[in-house]
Amino acid sequence: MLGSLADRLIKLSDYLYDLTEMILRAFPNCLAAIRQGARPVFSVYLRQVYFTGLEAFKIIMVTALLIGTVVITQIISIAGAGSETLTGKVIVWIVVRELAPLLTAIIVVARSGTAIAAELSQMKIAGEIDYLESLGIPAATYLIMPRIFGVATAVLVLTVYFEFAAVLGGFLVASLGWHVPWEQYAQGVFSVLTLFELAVSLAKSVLFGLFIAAICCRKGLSVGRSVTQIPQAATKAVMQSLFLLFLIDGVVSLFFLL
Amino acid sequence: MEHAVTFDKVLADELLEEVSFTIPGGCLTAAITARQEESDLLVKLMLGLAQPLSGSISVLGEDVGAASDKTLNALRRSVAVVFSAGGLISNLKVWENLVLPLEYYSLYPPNEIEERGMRALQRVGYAGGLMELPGLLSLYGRRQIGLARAMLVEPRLIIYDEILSGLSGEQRSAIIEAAETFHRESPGRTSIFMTASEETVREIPVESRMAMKGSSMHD
Repeated sequence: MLGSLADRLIKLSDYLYDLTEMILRAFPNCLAAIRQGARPVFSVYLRQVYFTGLEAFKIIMVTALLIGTVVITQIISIAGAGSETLTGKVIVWIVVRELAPLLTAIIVVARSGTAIAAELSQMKIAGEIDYLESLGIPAATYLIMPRIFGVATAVLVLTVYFEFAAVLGGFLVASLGWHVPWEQYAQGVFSVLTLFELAVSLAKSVLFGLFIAAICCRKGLSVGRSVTQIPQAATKAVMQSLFLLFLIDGVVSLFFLL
Repeated sequence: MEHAVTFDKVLADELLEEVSFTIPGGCLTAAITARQEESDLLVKLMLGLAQPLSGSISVLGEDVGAASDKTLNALRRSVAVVFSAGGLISNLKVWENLVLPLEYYSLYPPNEIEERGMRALQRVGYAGGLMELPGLLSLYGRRQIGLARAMLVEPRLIIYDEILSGLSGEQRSAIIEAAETFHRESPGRTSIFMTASEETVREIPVESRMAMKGSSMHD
């Protein structure tokens, strides 16, 4: 029992080490691509930001407004009328600290994580990775690095939008439903919304983005020759990304916010 | 004359038995293999995309097995391969596929890349759309783009991996003519036609040929 647990922990740490190495390797590759002025790499990055960021914008905004509404409604139903300052504080604690980066990352995993894993596995099976390498274009620089940074950029920006939409949307609902005045709501929000809170939230979102992309690229490129491995790779990429999101969220929260 | 490719007692995968051969530099050579899988594997071994179980491979003077990633990438820029399926990237449009190596290495300014790209398309007689995805092209169209891309990088060694099978006589002649003209343009250039069909080789004006009987290749 203990032996099996230890084995699993060792495998998990090996896996995390590999992913971290993959992410860290993307940085020198990025510098090399910039030095070289490799336009196709920048195109891949921009496409990734577009598909992951811009195309997810609507769903992120709708989710954020709904979450803001739900959280405000719950706080007022628990604390009662006259708890405007507390309402502002709680929405920062719940949304900015936890829900915004986490839910944004979950939506990105569901939309783009599967797409990245499926696309790369299809390319691998069709021999396109070999085609690229045969041109002297390393897959790590052309395929993996711009996806890692593209997803990280998109998750970061979407998290900021999510936080704005949830906090402001929550206020609109509170204002319309319970006539909560802006001054008291804002007082609650800004009394706890420090630069540190924002930095931790954004650091989480960047970490989420880097690891989601690394997992999905890794899973996509790990397929063999059969097309039946494409859906398997996509499913594994999603499950492992979700697990890692919760793990990173827990570790970062424990480390910074306790 | 220096050898362009040397296989010395190479054993790789279950497809090949021990293989030794040399391909002279500057020649247009046909290499006849028993099956297409063997052609594919030989190409991968030459580019360092597959590792031999034993033996050594030298391409353009570089020991492929001992080369670092950086050296391999530099070598691959001197070697162009026209793959049987065209070798195009499915999520890039035809034009993006064509100029990908030039843009990746920023070899020329954008307007010159455009000029060279259009010239290469004319040379191979491509008349299809440039903004289409490769999946919409015919096999001939994909091979034309693959050939045009190979020409653009001006390689010292060009490998045609089973690019004549499945084409009409007219299409085969057009590709052979373009390949032969390209070969003659640069005196030191080596061209290798890999094929599993001896009949196909008869159409190519090769200067040397070698056949893989069973699973071993010899001159």
